[in-house]
Amino acid sequence: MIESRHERRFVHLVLLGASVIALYPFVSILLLALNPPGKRVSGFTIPSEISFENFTLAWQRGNFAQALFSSAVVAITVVTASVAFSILAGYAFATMRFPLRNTLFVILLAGLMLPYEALIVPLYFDFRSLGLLDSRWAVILPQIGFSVSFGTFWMRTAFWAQSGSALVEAAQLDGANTWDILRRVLLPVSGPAIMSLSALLFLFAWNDFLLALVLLPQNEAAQTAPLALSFFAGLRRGGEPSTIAAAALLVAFPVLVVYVIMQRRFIQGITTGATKG
Amino acid sequence: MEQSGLGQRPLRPPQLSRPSRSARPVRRGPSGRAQPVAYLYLLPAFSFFAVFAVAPLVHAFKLSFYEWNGITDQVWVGLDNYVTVFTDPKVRAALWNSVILIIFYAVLPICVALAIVGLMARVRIRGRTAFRAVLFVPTILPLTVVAVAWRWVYAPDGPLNFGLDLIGLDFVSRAWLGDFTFALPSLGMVGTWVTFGLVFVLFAAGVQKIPSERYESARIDGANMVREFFAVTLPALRGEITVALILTVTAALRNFDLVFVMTRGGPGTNTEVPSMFIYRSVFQIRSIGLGAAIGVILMLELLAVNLAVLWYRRRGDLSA
Amino acid sequence: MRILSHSRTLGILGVILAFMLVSAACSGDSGDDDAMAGPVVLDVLAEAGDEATLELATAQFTEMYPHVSFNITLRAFDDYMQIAPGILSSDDPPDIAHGNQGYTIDGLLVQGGLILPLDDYAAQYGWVEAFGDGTLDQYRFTEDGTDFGNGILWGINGVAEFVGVYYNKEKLAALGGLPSTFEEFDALLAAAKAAGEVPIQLGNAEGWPALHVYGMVEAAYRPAAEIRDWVFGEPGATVVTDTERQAAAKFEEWRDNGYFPEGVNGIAYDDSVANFIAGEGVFMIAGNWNTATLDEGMGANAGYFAMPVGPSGIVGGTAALALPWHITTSAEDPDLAAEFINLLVSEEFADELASVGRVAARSSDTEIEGLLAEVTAGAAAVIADEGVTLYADWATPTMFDTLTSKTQELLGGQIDGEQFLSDVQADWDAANG
Repeated sequence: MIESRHERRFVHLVLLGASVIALYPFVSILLLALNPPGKRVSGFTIPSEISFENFTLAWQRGNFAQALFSSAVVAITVVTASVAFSILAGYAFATMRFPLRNTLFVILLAGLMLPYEALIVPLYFDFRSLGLLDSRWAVILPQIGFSVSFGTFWMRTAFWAQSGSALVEAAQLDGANTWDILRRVLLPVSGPAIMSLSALLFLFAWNDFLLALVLLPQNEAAQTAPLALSFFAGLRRGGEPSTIAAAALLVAFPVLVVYVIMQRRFIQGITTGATKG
Repeated sequence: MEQSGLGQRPLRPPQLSRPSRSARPVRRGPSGRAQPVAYLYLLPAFSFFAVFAVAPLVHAFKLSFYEWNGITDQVWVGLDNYVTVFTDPKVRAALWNSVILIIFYAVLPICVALAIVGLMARVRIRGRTAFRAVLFVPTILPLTVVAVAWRWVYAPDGPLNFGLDLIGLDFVSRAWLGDFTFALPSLGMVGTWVTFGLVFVLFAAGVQKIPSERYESARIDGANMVREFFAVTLPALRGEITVALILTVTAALRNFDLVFVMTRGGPGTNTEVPSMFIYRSVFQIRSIGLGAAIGVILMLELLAVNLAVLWYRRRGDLSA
Repeated sequence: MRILSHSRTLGILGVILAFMLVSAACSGDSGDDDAMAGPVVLDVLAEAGDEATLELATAQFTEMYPHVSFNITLRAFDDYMQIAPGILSSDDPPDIAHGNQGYTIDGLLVQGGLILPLDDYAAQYGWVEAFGDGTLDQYRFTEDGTDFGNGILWGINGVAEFVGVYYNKEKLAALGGLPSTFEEFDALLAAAKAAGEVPIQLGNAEGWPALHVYGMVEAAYRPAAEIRDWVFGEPGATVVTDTERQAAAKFEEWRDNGYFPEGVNGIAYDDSVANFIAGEGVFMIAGNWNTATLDEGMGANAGYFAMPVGPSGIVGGTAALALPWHITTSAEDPDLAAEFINLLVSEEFADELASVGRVAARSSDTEIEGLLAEVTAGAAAVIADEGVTLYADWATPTMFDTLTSKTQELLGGQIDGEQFLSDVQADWDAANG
């Protein structure tokens, strides 16, 4: 490649600048949170002494142990169920012939364009009359319902790529049934696709706020972490932005951990997902 | 799930390996006789989809024709709620704001990312994966956390104003989120910050796939940086741009978390957005039918935008 | 016209699906656990301002009735008002809950048959005599929930909430003495501005805090009885009057003179209180529920007075009894709930409200000192002049929403006082016309 030194330096500077901007808001609340609680801080203040008291305070007052547990339960259930159902449906669409196949697929596909903001009103009243409001099912069930469109689409393409392979054909000739082909032939080679899907769905489920806000209004035991954060930022504003900042970091922490471990999966999921099909 | 700018949008699933392409004709689909067992495989996914996506949608349509406060009896009002959507200044403000936010969520990050990627195409980047990983962070954070962080950045005595004062621009500093001129753009910039990482990662991956011969031949033709960008980089990224547009426009229109935590629609109705209005209609104004009607309109708006992007893309492909 | 049949089908399907799901993780402790019995649990849903009051009262109640325990859920004001009706109309409402006077919350709760009438308990415990008949009108609605201020008593609270003027004693001393008229107060604001101080500390990100400031100006110009009529929706009431215009013009003048902090619409209410404590602002026009916070933060440097008398001729101001306690229709033991509410509004408990920084609505003989004594004296001055104006946002179901955005527009200079009044009246006319 032909390139000038100036150009190279400039590009790196731009990327460095963008990285600083991407991280700064997060760093700024970290600095804020490390101050002792109640201290009035402003601007760029770097804490003179590092105190973790804000985290302790937020943890105790905001019920975050319960909230993080609740978020984990919701996210894991949603991911497990959605991925399982998506594998089954994606497999059928990718490898089988049956009446209404295309119609059904288009219907499911339309779900990708469905904003659940539009569904929140009926969901609230349906769950209210069912007595499901304020239970974790109220956020788990709809999230599975929304996730299967995306998941089925994803797994269908993944399986499609495999379905003509020699292994599959060999299994078919051996007279293996559909279940065996899925389990013995396709699943073992689909690990990466399943992991990427799981990572994305985990992110969606963990970060959901609107469903939790509307469908878990009262039960503190079922509250998810983002919801607990929002209530915490509302309930105890009293001039303590540093404690709220600590609370925000508590909520972000699990996502960051998963991201650091699965970083390549996330980015691969996004980028390979966008390649021209 | 309006989340991190990703939304649950049609990211295209991965191509796991290539062999299938050569092994059989592309996209022929399964052949052979019908296998009714397929329905069994579809059952779980479709049950959930039907009960928790389709049924509420039908219910939303139905509710949108009633006046209801959520507690007493429902009253049929025909299209009244839809009339309100298009005549009530507050609802119209909300719809209009969501269109403005498209500039911040979609147009701005796409332009900036294209510019940076255009630069990157010409040089070898050291630490490419590290940059990519860092720039992607805003996209994965819970939006409630993002909102809390930016509420602090924008606070009257927060870092932004502090920085402006420091460099002598103290006449610029203000309570950003309470300012009638700047509240919406300030909120929008947070959207830009969130979606930029996603857009950048998409484009960066796209550029890497462009065969370097194309750049070389462009340079032999004497193309400068700008010409090279328009002749090689931009056309090659058309697919990525389509995906980025769909994802970011969707995030702009569905925006809720940021508004709820940062401004609750204020000052005045300056940062009111449709989803916030849906929430209010259930929990504050208690006009459930109106909320349902806005939801239906929001859905149609999204559908229209998505189809327009896809249609434009297809037309582009034909003319290209 | 009901939608139940649809949601029931949906429901059955949903439940079946729910069980199909890997029983797994969630069976744990989602949902509510008050079924775990034991003797009696009273479920209380309350606005967070009453946290300390509840702590005190529940401790006393449990002492009297050892078999009773409490399950208390608290939410900040804004969150509370959004979720309360939904929770009260859900399958699992609490036994006791806060409402809010006026159509937005209480009217809805009455219309929906979600709360119990309290007239019998009022007679049994003598509430009406204790508080005075007119005072409790704010908790009354007709049986169908359409006429506010008349009919049945649906709720009660023994705490008085007055908006008044807090001031920073050191800063005021540097500017002059306590004002004895509204005019003098106005002059002090100008003096404060000239001295480079923030005359009135205010944070209006939520939209309602400025309403309390406007309400005080309004009461200085306009007779309190007229304002109350407007709130109760009496036929022909209006805010577009000459005296009200003068009030709006004065408020506009304060805005234009820069008497409020810069970026007032971007400052959260609680943050403005913190700013005032930190020495930013000579005055802060706010509710007396801030007393404990200010006392703790500023000690002897905080003072309070009722807005001094203006052209209206009486000491008036935004004030009311606190958010009503309601007994829900699904309360398991309404009598027990009423017994607890009676403790909250009792004469004995009134004596102890001071210890949690609240002002009792019924006279109390406890010696109070410090800031709370000034706050109580201020409240007494308003009561003596019958200057209580209630809250404007009670007037119509949408008034809270209208006022919160209109005060922000007024403070932000988007509209002038005249426009503010006509916009507000338009909402009133739509509901009462």
